[in-house]
Amino acid sequence: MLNRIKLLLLTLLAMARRKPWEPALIIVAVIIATAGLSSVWLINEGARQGDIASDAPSPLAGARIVASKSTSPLTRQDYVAVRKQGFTQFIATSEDSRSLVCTGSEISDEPSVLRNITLLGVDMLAAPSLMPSAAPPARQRAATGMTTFAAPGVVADINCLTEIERQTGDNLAPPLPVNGLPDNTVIISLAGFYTGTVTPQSQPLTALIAVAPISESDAKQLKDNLPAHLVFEPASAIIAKGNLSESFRLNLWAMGVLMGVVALFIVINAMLLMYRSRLPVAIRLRQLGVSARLLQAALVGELAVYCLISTPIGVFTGLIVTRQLTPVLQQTFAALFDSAFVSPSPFLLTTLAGAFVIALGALTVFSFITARQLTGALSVSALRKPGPGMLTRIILSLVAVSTTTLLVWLANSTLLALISVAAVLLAGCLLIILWLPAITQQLVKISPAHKPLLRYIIASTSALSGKTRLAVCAFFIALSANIGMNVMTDSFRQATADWLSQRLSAPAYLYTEQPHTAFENRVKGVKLVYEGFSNVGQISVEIRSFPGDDEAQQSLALSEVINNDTAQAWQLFAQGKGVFINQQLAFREHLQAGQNMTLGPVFTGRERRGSPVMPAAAVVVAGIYPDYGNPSAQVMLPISRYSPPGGFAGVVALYPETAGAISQYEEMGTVYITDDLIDLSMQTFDRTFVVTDALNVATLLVAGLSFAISISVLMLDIKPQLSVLRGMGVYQWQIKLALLSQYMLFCLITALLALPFGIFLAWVFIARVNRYAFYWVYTMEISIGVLLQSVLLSMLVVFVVLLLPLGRVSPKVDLRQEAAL
Amino acid sequence: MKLLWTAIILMLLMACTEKPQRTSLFASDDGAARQARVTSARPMSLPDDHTSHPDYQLEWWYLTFVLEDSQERQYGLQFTLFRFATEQDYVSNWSDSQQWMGHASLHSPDNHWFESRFAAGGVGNAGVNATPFSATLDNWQWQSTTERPFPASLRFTIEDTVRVDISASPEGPYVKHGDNGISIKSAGGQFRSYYYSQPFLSATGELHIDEQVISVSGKAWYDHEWTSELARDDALGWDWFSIHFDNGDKLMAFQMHVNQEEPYTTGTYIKQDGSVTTLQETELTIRAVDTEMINDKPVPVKWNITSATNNLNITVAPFKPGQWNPGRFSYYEGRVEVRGSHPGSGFMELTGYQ
Amino acid sequence: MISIDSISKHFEGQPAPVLEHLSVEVADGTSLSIRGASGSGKSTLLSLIAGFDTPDRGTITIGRHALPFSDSKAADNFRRDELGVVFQSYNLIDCLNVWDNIAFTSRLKGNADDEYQHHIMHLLAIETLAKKPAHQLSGGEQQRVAIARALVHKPTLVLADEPTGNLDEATSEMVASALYQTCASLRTTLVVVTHSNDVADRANMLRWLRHGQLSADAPC
Repeated sequence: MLNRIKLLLLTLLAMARRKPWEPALIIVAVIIATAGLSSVWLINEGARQGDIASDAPSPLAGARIVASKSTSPLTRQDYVAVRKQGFTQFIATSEDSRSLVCTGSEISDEPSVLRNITLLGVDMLAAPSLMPSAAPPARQRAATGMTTFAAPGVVADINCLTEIERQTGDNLAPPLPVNGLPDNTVIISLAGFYTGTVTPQSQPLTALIAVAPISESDAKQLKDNLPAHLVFEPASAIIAKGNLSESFRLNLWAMGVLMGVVALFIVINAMLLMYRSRLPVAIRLRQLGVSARLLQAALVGELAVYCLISTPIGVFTGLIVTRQLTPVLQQTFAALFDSAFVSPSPFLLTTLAGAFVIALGALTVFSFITARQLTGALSVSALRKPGPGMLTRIILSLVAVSTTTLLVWLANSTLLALISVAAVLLAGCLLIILWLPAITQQLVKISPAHKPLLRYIIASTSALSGKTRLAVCAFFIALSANIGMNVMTDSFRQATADWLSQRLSAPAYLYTEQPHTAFENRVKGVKLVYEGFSNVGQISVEIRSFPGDDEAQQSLALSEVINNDTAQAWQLFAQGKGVFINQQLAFREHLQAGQNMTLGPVFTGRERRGSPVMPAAAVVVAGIYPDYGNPSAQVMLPISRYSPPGGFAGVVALYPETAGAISQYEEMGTVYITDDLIDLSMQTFDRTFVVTDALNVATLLVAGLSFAISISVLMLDIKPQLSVLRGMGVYQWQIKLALLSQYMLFCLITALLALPFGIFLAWVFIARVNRYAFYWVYTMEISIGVLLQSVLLSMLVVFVVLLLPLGRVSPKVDLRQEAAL
Repeated sequence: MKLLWTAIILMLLMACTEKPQRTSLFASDDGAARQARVTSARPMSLPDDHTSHPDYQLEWWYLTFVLEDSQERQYGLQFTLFRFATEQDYVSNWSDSQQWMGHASLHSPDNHWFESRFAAGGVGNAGVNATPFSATLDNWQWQSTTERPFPASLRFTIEDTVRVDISASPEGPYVKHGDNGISIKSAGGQFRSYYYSQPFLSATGELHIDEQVISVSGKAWYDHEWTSELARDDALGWDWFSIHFDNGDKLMAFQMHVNQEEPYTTGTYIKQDGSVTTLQETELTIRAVDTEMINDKPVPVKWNITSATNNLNITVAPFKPGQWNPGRFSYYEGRVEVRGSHPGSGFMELTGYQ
Repeated sequence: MISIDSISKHFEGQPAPVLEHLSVEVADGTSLSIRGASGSGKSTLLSLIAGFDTPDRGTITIGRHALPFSDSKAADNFRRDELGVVFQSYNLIDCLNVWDNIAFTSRLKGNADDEYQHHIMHLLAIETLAKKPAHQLSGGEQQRVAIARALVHKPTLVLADEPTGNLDEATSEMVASALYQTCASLRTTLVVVTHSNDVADRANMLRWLRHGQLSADAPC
């Protein structure tokens, strides 16, 4: 048995040697699939190891004990008492928001102020699991300054290479990156925090934070035993938030799956082409007594050889691509996503073995489907089967369309939304397979009879559409996804640009360390911004102040207003009876304009600390505004109601009467001209999508390439026909033009069919995927330029690839032709 | 040829299985030279020396209990408070330069509970008080009524599952080891400590395990040791035994492992009347006879201890396997059974096997 | 009139020339059959007559056209306007139906005439197949379609290379009849290369190709 399989295998490999382009297509497709999926898996692994998109709350976000009044602060003795009572999960913390100065960075040797960075002292000894340490406590000491820690994004932002000076207290060493730490915070041991003139008396403890869960019974016992000047606050649940990093990973997986699917189609198509050309030999073999099972086994053996060649190349390529991208990814993750990207080190043997097994498994499954005809055929006459009838096609089309519509309609989570994306693409494929030949046949009917070459071109296109459906599908999927992504990204870009231009209505903005009192005398020409922190239900919300004057009303677009009455909405807002909420909060909490909601106690600053400046209150949602890219829920309060001294955000909108008047503010902080801010934002926007754009284009190129290669392979089949045409007096250049025309026509028809699907896909991305993943939506803008760009790029790829084989086509008339099937 | 390749691949795959390296448990390069030294010029003086010695780098107050309940089920209980003096090149207004670590461990025949805690000194929630004597770390409380550690009551929790409420009372004198409390632990004498024990403790109390309350009683052994000369990389660990013989005598046997030196053996034989015999290196042999795999490394857990003095020839073996204290400082600490010329029970501590 | 004057053709690697000083003349409207053993050079002779290949020596004159042509455009034009070829393997254009397959040559030449096409299809008894896709035809039907395609544009000369080579006896009989009768009725010169005596014997001139030369004598 083995000898027979070996004999057959050698025969198949000999056939492959004669037409090496056929197995080459399979090998290339497997390489692309394994390379693409390997790099996507590795990049996501690096992100996971960098703790990106972790839903776990920060260890410092647990329940806490705080002073109920600033006149009776939290003391060291209180801390000792709590721990002696057995509540050892509580650790003491203290905050200092006074500015820190970096004495030297990568950019300059000049000292620079570190804006909006809070120094947080933590009794790390009491909770050693918080901080990484393999050394005994005695060894936690830095070479210069006291050891500090911060989230990787903060470390990147600070970018300080030398000591960090405090206004009081001893100097700090540049922070070491540790994942999971709060934003804009540098952590130091409490012993190091209280140095110099900083004492527990001058700077009382801020809170005792529970770093482990506390049961309800323990919480009750604690509350009962706390002295009157202390209060216990339970932990706020943190809802998983969509953020740019999740967006990145989602995109990446989507692109990886897309590449895999495209590669899948390419592989199946390549296998079909290969088996089709081997049909005569296969029939002879079967007629000579080779069983179908034996032939199938030999085919699988042949595929195993191709997998052995292609999977290592694919995996190594994926590894190399990831390694090359790692520095870019590390910068992107730190700067944009505030997290680390750890260069992944896969266990190579496992990855290779896994890739080989998966590839061979997939190919084996495909071979059973595609080689059915090959292994089953005993004569030529049995081969030609008519396609599905009209009724079958209509029924299948209706099923596909209705199923897809239902899935899209019902999608109410990220997973279902992604499934509906897949459904759209697959439905489109099915419709292409069912209807493309019919559409092209109609074109044949309307083609002018007196132009035989034109009719031949169109008829040949029609015939081609029946022979290369899977390559068409791969091309269609890639192009639809490309159009969908481009329309989505373009719409997002436009929406962001419009929104920024509207919201940043002041000509300039000042970022300052000065207290809000510094602006008391400058009533005209400045608008201060206040921020805070609260909760709605279980969700943390940002608080922002917003003015209610006419100018401000122009700068805030409301997508939904109470009773559809914008004037009423602003009136309620100005009176302090209503609030504006962002889309993120509205979608998460299923809120609509006009509904009531309970806003929790409002704290100043960016996190819940100290005493609230506003108690919890029931408010009405006066309006909902878009807030693109913000991962957090947000509530706007009128500045007349919310402008606490401790809540000044350090941001001032400047409305200078003259251009020169801006210079008076430059000594108070950093002034940003609005146009520059917008440019910077849009650059950041573009950077975010660079990697996925690259993958998108790569997928399109791959699909276009495979499409063109498939056609080139088919071109070989019709050589006898080309010979006939030459024999009938058609010029050489006419033949080449005819071939090019039919392929470009084919490509154009597919592209035109991909357009509506691509646009629909863009809508699904925006209204479903984005909606449920990140809780905000934006208007879809269809730009002819963007659509044309995708279509023309794909046609250009096919055109360029076809030039070579077309250039070599030189049909000579040979009277003795081989029989074509 | 095939065989050669197979062999090469197997060799590579096997990787190097290293013998477990002995490591130094408390080694620090924090300038031991700056700490106070163990010297005969400063002799041990009790009861003054029951309290803390902040000038010395390392110190511990160590209690081990061999207990039984009414069904004669055996328990091994350990409570230890450690103090480390750290090198801090800044002055903190929050804490002093001492760091405190507490270990609490309870072994029943089937279970083990262990907890390790840390606290900064000078804050108020950890430390040793002289009069009356108390040793505290958060809600772990060892309270005496006098300046002596005993009689005392101990209350502490382990993993929020176990609560221990136990009293210990002395039934004999305190015992100074070595030369009036100066215990030499290496041939050259560079490793040494101040070391005394109270081996004659009777204990009684309750173990609260989940909802269960178990009354227990038995014996206890107390060690207090302080030094600056063990916190060095060359000190690779030790094997320590505290044994209550059935005849009322006690034995402290100790074997120190020093880098590039032969292990150094020392011990103290304590008769039930309180008389003390120091066993020099030549008078005591401590030999491992069997190992147990713990964390994939062999740890010698069965020992043979012999001494011509008192015709001692005993075998010490753990009362159950797996008596390992995990955590940042991990070591073997467990109750043992003693057979041979002098049967009894006790505790064994093995450090440096990690 | 077809006039072949002392043409020779030698292929590299072969010991002897395939054709050597071969001459023959065929009057307009008549038919010539050429028989010979396999490999005797029959298809080579046809290729030279069609202008698909060029002789090493000698000339070929077909009507007013002198071969070899000076450029490929002239050759293409000749094939388009004056020549009809019936191949051994039918080589219809799969993606076109029968009507379009047949009309291809006349549309190419610009003298498409539906009525004439119907007439030829009637002569070849394939009128009912007009709308059928080419790949659905039987062997005999395909060959008759190929013959119709070769005639519909009113060429000067029809070359048929083993037109019944792949057909059974009964179908061969039908196809051979159709070929000769249609050509005769349209007064189209016909040159047939065949190894079938039945097909060859229907021609006006019978020749055998041996040792690179045409002979009127049958081999022994």
